[in-house]
Amino acid sequence: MIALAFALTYTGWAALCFAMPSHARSLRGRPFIQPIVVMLRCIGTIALLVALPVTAQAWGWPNGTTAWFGILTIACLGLIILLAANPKVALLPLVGLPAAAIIVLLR
Amino acid sequence: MSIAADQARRPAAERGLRPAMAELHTWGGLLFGWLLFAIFVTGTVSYFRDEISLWMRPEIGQLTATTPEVAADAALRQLGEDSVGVRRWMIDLPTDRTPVTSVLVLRDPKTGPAAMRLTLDPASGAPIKVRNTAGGDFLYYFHFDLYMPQRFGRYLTCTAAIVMLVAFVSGVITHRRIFKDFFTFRPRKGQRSWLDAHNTLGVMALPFHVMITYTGLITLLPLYLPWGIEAMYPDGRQKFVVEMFDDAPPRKPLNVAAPLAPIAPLLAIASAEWQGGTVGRLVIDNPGDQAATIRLVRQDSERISHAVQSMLFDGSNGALISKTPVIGAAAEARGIFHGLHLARFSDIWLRWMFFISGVVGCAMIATGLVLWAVKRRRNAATVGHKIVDALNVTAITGLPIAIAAYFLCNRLVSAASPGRTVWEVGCFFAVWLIAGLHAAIRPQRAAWREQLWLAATLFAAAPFVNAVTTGRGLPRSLMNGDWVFGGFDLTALATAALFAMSAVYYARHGEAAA
Repeated sequence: MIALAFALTYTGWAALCFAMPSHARSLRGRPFIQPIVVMLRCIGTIALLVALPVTAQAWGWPNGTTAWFGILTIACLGLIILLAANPKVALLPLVGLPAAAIIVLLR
Repeated sequence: MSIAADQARRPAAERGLRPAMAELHTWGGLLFGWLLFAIFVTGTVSYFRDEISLWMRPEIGQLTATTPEVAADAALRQLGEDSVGVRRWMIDLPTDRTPVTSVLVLRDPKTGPAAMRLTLDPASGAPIKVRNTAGGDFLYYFHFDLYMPQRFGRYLTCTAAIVMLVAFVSGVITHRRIFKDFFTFRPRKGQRSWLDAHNTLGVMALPFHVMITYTGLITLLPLYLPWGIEAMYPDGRQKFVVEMFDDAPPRKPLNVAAPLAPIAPLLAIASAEWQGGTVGRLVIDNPGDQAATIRLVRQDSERISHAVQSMLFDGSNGALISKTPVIGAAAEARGIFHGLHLARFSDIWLRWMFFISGVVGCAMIATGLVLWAVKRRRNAATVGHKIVDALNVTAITGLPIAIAAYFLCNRLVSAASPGRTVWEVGCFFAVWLIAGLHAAIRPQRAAWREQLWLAATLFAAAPFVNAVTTGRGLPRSLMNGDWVFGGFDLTALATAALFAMSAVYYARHGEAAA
């Protein structure tokens, strides 16, 4: 559940990030077209919000809400560090984290 | 350029909200930044107060906690052998984090030492001979007491916390691109990079920063807002303290010997009262006397709220005397705020998240302090600038060096030495002072370089010195699944790596590094 929450928040932050013209430019040289920007923003917001019930599932609501803020912060920190290194590298966890979450959930 | 210069000459109030807020943020942040950094660092480390205390008492082996019934029974059997003149036993039962029973014995000074601490094996109650050390408690108390007499430190931390809240509000107002630059960090661009880092570190953990600062203020509420209490309790503070901690003064001893009632049934009654909650602490007044009382206090790791829940029993016949009344919404809110600050409710994952958020806070303050100096580098020759530079080094690298020295001193001072606690704490302050002097006399770049490397070296040395002096080195810990020792050693190595990386970056790029 914790891995899934991280996967969701990282995905959410990354989607919101690449919806911005400057970060999209650093990734692919030009911004995304408007419909894709809107879609990325929706995906991002929904992913961040869906992570809340996921953390509540893992910790219960009082501690889960606290943990949600912590996971939001740490996922954001990870994204910013990777972005500064290389925007393409920042995409890797988008594959890795959900895979890890699935493995952990199936175990 | 001329417009900007003209702007700068006018008084802040005429220039509008944002420049005024920027000025407030800059100077408030600078004046209290060093203190806030020290408070944040020691506070962050204190999330692992129990684990640090265990690492600093390596005589406590890798034990497993027993049930409260077994531990309480074993402890009372052990303590019962020597109850002459005892006024109070305060018994902290083992937890998942600290697997031993810790006892404070308060005694009539005529019959023995007035206060004595014991560490007991949870299963047998046998005393474990541990070295004297302030352990993680020293860093925990420094966090809000600053090791100053007469509550002076507490007033200072309160003031710093208020300045911190002001800095958050003024910082958010000053940060004009808070959403646009949400993810923006441009490395190796000098001042730009420091500002980016300061901004993102502040914004990404803003909920944590505001929560921890506000709840920190709440923990010391009765100290700096005493007037409400004075109005409600005109007869003095005593009654307020009794109600707040549900800790009535002990009864007068009758000087009639009577054995204590069996403890297990009382633990069961308390557990049922708390819907399956467990007892964390036993406070027994006048043990062995007919007037004995047994107070059972609920474990503080089970709920977010830190408001006390306890039950008081007659010590000789086990009858219930009183229990904590249901508290009002305001008191419960205070309990939750206090609990959120202490984070005792966290499991290991949540604890690490709090720790990382705390590190982000430390980094935010550090980058802010460095930014102030980088931005004004052309004034570097002035006395004021030199003082800021020296204090920056003293705080940002000097404090971690002092903490590492405190840990190393724990292993290097003989375990049997009676005054070793004084040595450890003295070592912490002496090393910090030397770091400050070093920062003052060395050229700024050399001071940063040397102290970054020293911090890396000392943190890297901790696991090795531990392995040599205790035989509980990292490989063994990892093989035995000893996560207290393994976790401490790995964290020390990670901290060392962080400082070494900073040193390499700094050598290569100077202040343009970031």
